[in-house]
Amino acid sequence: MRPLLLQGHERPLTQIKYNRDGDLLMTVSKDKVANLWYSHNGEHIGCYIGHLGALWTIDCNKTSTLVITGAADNTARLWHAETGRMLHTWDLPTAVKRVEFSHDDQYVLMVTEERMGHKSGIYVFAIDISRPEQSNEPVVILRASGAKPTVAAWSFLDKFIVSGHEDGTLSLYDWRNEEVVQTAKAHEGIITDMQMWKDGTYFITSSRDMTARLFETATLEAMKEYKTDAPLNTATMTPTQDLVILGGGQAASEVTTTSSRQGKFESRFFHKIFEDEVGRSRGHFGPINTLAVQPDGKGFASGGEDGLVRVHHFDPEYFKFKYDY
Amino acid sequence: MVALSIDNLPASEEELDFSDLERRFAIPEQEETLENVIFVDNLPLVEEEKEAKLISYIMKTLVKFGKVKENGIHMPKDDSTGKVMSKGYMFIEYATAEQAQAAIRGLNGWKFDKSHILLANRFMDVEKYSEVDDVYRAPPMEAYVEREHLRSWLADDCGRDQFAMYAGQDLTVFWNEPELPAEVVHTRTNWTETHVQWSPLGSYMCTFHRQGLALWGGHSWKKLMRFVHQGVRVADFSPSERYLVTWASEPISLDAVNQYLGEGNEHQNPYTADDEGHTTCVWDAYTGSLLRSFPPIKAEDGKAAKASWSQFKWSPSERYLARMTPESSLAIYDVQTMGLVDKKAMKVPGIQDFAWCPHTIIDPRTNVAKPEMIAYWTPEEGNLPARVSLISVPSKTLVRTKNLFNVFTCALHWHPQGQMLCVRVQRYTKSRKSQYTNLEIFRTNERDVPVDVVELKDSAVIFEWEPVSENYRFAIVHSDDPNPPPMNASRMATATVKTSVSFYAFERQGKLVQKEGFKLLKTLGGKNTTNLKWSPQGRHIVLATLRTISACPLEFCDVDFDQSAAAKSGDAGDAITVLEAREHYGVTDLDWDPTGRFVVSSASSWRHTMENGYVLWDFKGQQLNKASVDRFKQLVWRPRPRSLLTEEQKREVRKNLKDYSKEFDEQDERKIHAADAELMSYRRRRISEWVAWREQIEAKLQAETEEALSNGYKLPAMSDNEDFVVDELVEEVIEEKEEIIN
Repeated sequence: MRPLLLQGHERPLTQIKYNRDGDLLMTVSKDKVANLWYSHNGEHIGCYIGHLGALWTIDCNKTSTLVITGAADNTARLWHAETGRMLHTWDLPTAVKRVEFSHDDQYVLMVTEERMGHKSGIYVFAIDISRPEQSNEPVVILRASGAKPTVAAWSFLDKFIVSGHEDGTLSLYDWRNEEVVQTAKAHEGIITDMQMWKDGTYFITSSRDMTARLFETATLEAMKEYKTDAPLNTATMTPTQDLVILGGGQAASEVTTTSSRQGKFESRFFHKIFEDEVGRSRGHFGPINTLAVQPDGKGFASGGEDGLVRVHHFDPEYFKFKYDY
Repeated sequence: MVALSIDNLPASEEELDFSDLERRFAIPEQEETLENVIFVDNLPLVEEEKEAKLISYIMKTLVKFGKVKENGIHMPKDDSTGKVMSKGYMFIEYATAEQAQAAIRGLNGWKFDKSHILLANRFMDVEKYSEVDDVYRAPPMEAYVEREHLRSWLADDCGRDQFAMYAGQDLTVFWNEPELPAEVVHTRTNWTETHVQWSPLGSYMCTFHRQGLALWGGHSWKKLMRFVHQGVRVADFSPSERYLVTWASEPISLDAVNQYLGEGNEHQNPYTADDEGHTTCVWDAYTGSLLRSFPPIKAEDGKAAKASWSQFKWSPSERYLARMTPESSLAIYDVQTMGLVDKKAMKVPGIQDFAWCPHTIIDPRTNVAKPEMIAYWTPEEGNLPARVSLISVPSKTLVRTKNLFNVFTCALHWHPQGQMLCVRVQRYTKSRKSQYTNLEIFRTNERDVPVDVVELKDSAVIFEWEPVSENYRFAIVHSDDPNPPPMNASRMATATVKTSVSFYAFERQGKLVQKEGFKLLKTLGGKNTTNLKWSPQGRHIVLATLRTISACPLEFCDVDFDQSAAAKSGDAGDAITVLEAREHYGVTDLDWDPTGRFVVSSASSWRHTMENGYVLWDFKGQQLNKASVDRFKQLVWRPRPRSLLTEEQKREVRKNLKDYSKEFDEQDERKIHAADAELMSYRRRRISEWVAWREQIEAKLQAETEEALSNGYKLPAMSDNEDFVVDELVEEVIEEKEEIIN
């Protein structure tokens, strides 16, 4: 499994995402540029230029026509995916840490940072696909009562929004009624990533407490736990093969003079149901900040603190691999 | 007394009755203590006139120990014979009890003159012992408590071995299972405070604590014995586990031990005033009693010399304990009495190191054990050459010496079976600019102790005898650079050193003396091996690079692998084959199990925090098991006692090995099957749970989706072209033509 190395960023990666078809790969990093690539050969298609601060997050709609990015310049921007033209800018009080289109593409959620006296919040905006200008008036703003949210995702049928918080708790919002339906203590540390299963019925979270866990969306009931020996930044699930992939490693600031091995900068594969570690993939020389799996399950990509994106296409052996049971 | 109340308050303060308070807080009258009085006996009898002279004479000595009180000397006199004569004893009162104590120590046994040796005692003792009852009262018999069988672990049905693992705060004893995860025998948190050690025959597990050490064992893992020795660091058992030496970095303090034992338990304190300040103790492991303690060896500047524990060594028969005072003497104690053999230590000026012959050799003709032997070496001193000497014990007669020149340092390596002694001599070249190694091998079991010399061009840094073999094979690691590589704070080498590994064996061709000696079998070059670990059964050896940050190879070697090639070429070296070259990232320790079937390589958190845990290999280098353990510190195999089978019986077993192994193979198979079946059923259960949950969730989702869709919810359509076409333009150069255009 020889990965494609995408060298389009000069600063640490913050998020990477495949579109629904799996042919495009979007990457954002702290260097203010969002890049678009062909996932099968790593060819660079273009950039979305306009942000003035580090980019934290990116998403595109299901039909791959619109791209939204969120950045530390307190804006979220809507782009025309194909041409890279900026369509709209939302001005928010603080940095935008997470954006995600709803399953029906009608809404987008934005998680904002808590800073300079502004409370953090989850903003939901309606998206009108027919025209470039968008409403600057959020449909709702969800405010957390406790610790600030760090990640959020849409549930099945966009009924709920699940958010993960700095203190390791999860909240399930009935977002239309601005109501917390359920909370649960998920982790001992900050929740660093949350990725939904494609139908939105369960999701995986990763945390600095060195574990990743699987939760049922409707009940926030913990279903599985994956233990590692390194703080985790990201976790994702493979659509076939019943595996999860976890990434992380010692924070760059804590690493002194270490070999890449010592920092535990590896993508770790666990069996989703048995919770056993089944393999690792090396390569990054900094912590892995973000992981994404191709929607057809034929490959995955990882983005690291080292500024590199590695796009892996699984070998035939991977698909033959079957756990005995 | 009427209780005080608001109704009957006394009129004035004087009428208040303070008597109860006075009684309660009265300071007890200072009892006249006689702790500071000593009693000196065996003085010369003198007339009254000479009394003053005697007192003034003895006073000169007395004041050395402290201040004698004014009129503090009292010498009773006797006038029954008509003449006033002293009675030959006197009482002396010192200012303090400590001074009196010092005076007793100093005066007792002091030669006053030729015929008078003084006896000094505490005055209080005279009273104490005169009050002792003359009738003997037997102490109550303690009920007999049966001890558990200390070797019960050997009776395991599958003949498995045990090991102890210390990780985090937990100490756990496991059964080793080659194919399956190790099975827990017993585990406790905070069982030991520093590390864990087995006794040499495996009967006891020894744990180390702030207050001393404890021995554990038997089937139930009860505490068998404890030894109070505060700050204990090291324990060294005698070869048959009867005795042990312990060493602490801090001196023994009676008060601290009493404090720890608690009030009323002073009788449990093993120490007396004589042990105060000592650091090394010799114990009887079976009864727990202290046999003797030793003070730290003082270096010339008066400070305690470092690591004085390694200067104690047990003889193989455990009848003797030898103790070296570096640079000056070698003392041999008879363990029965803990007294010096011949009542004096051997003066060996300059002695650097010594080693007992590790095995008692039985003379085949007389069937009597040969006397034990000690080898030691002294460095060059002025015109005297460096010298290796062999003495026999207890006669202390010199068996053999050899003079050596240009010696930098020596290391003594006895063959485990005691028939050979290799002295690894690190020598200077004539220019003194570089070093090289000579191996001087003494055949101690033969008449006149012949010495074979193997000269190397470079320096041997590691020397290891093969534990069991007929032709005294050994392996060395040699390198151009005798200096160890640089190390970081936790003693991990930060660089590798280019080394080679060579194998030698003793060869005897025909009967000619000239044709015998040690011959190089094979050299494996271009390595960075730092450690050699022979299997306890011989033949197999692991070449390892331990405690090195940048390299971690393990090479599993068989020195008798290719017998046919060796037979063909007539060169035994051709049989030596590296079976497997493996790696264990961050390996710090390597240890064979006592049967020589398995090797454990481990990465300890004492050295680094990368991938702590251990790997179990078989002797061929196949990885059997890998366990990553958080905060793993130490893994030690439980040793086995020496086999009770005779050589014939062993040969018999070896001959019928196939029949035995069949049985065990079946057992193993069954066990693996059972474990597999268990794992499989566990997995099946989890899968079916998962599938059931998914079905339920999907059904619910289906219903909800239908409902939502009927309420106007719309999901974006999937893109219609599931398989999309990617156009790629490929340019190919078919022909190239060069034309010159004017």
